[in-house]
Amino acid sequence: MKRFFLNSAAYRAAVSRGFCAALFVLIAAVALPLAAQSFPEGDVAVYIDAVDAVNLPVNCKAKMAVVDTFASGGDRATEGFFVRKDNKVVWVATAPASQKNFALLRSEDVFYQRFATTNKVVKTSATANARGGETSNLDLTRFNTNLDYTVSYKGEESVDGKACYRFELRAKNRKLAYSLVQQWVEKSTRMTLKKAFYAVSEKVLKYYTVTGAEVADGRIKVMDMKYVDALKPEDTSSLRIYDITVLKSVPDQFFTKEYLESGRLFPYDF
Amino acid sequence: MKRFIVLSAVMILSAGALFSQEKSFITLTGDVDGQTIMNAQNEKSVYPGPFTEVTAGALVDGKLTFSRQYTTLGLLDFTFQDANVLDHRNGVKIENLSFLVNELYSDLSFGDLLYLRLGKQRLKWGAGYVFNPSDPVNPPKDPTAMRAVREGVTALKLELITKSISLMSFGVLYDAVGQTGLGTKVSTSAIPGTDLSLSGYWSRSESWTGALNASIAPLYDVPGWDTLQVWFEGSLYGKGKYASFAPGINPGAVVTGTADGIQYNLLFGVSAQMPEIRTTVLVEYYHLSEGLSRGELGAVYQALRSTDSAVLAESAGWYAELARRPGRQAPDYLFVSLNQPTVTDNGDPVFDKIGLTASCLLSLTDLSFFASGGITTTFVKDSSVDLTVNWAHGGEGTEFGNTPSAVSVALDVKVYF
Repeated sequence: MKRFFLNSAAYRAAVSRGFCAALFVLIAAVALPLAAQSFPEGDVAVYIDAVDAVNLPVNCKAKMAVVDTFASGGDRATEGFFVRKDNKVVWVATAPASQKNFALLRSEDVFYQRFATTNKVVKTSATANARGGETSNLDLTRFNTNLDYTVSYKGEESVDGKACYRFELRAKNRKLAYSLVQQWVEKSTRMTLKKAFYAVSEKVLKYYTVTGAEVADGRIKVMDMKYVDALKPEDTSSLRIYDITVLKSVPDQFFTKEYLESGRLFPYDF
Repeated sequence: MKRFIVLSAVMILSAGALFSQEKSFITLTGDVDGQTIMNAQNEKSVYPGPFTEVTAGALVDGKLTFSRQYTTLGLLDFTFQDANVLDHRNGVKIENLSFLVNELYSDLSFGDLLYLRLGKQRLKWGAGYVFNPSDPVNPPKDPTAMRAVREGVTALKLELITKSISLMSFGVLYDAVGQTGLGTKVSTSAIPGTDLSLSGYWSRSESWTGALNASIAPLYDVPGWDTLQVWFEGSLYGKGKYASFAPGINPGAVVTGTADGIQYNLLFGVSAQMPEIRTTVLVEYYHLSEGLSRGELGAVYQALRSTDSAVLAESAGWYAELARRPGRQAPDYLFVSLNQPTVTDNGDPVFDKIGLTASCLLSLTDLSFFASGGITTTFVKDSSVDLTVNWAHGGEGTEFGNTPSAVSVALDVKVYF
């Protein structure tokens, strides 16, 4: 009986079908990752590092101006400067007058905030909006994509008529405000033209587009961005980064709580 | 004399930096504050002396900084005040002009690692908001006047700041040689989510003080709970800072004594910001081993209220003692504060420009309290209008039941520059 079953045509057909299905799954398991990784310009992580370097050098200082515009027609402006050493950033406000000396420090994944009048330094979070508006603490101090996200290439798309690569960024650390980000990078300049930020539910929360940029010597000198609240598109924050200056070296001491408390200066004399 | 020499040295160093060939900067920041304060007298208060119902005037809080690049810094933090009191009895105006130097120092950086600061300066100490038990040198905070500017002390401070650990050593200069003190503090944020510091101080007059500060964000990795912070500040010291209770010779009289043995102060605090509504809640509990018990406080206030002139004369030393320790008379206190930076943050033309604060300091020993509430409006750019109401309440034998002013209302109009 058993020999009859094993020798039957039906059994042989079933085995054949099962073998084909298994072979198909095996091929798909190998082919799909290969297809996903087939980024035209090589390694995705290396490319993203190069994109970050175009946007902002690893060791640098720059000025920043932010204007929050609301549906009511009112607006709120903040000016300041920041000093960056890879994933450490200190941001100091210079205007309005009531906020002069307010500072935000990011040391890897720890954030501190300094009160303007007392120099008192307290720990704060990445998700908090120290200065209000559409820009969180993380938005003001996030410049190293590969440290914060796992990046995968998703194909080519057009943004405002410009040919771009699209990347999907998944947060490595759940402290970060956005678990999912989509990034569009212009192929010819390696400049990020658009970024969209998603909630855990994968619903878009906000996005920014680059509305203007001056490029020289292969990197950005001035960049204008516009953050838009996806739920309330009339609420926007316009951010301008300018006077971007490369620094040969930046002391680690600048990014400590003690230095921030001391009220000492940072090299902001542009 | 010593302090004059130090401050002169600071001025010379700063001037040298300013006029050197390197690029130098001078900046002036601060605010001009037009202020009116109205007080309702506490009829039950034991404190004698004239009571001022209305004070009006202006003050300028400013910081003048001299800097050469970022390695050399000179700073002058000052308060210039013009306060006026109009006597309702005869219309005589009493004007008080004052210029207070809060800080004046020179700061030099050596290789972005070693820093030297000489002059009158506030030495940063502890995470406590209403009280710093571990602070051995700065003038203590007054919880009933949290907006008052705090002066620094004349000191020489050497600071070594590295990526993982910081070491601060300092010497504080007083008028008398015997009061000069030496101290050191080691601080680190190397343990994830934690800021720790250990400090020690000694002077011939103050004896020794050892202190520990620890701040922890226990849920820093949890979105939505990452603003929760917990802190502890504690100190042990070899010599009492405050007078202790001692009965006088006359029945009912009290005199000031000296606390024996090692004393200690502790503070525990917690704060968090509520998501979406952005209200910050802060709660602190602190304990002072030198605090007077409920019975002792009651006896002191009763003696100061006595109609017997002999008792009153013998007990009079307690007026000054109590006045110098607001929020530090009893052993146990609870402080609660709510802060709403703006009512909304969505572009509303009105509520985006209104901020609210409320706080209460409760003496857990005699159940008296000092409450404060305020509203801040910022409708005009670079300016604010603040209205603050303070209310002190308690029984006759309690700390806040004897504050000179039962209720005070302050209106400040500030322009920032």
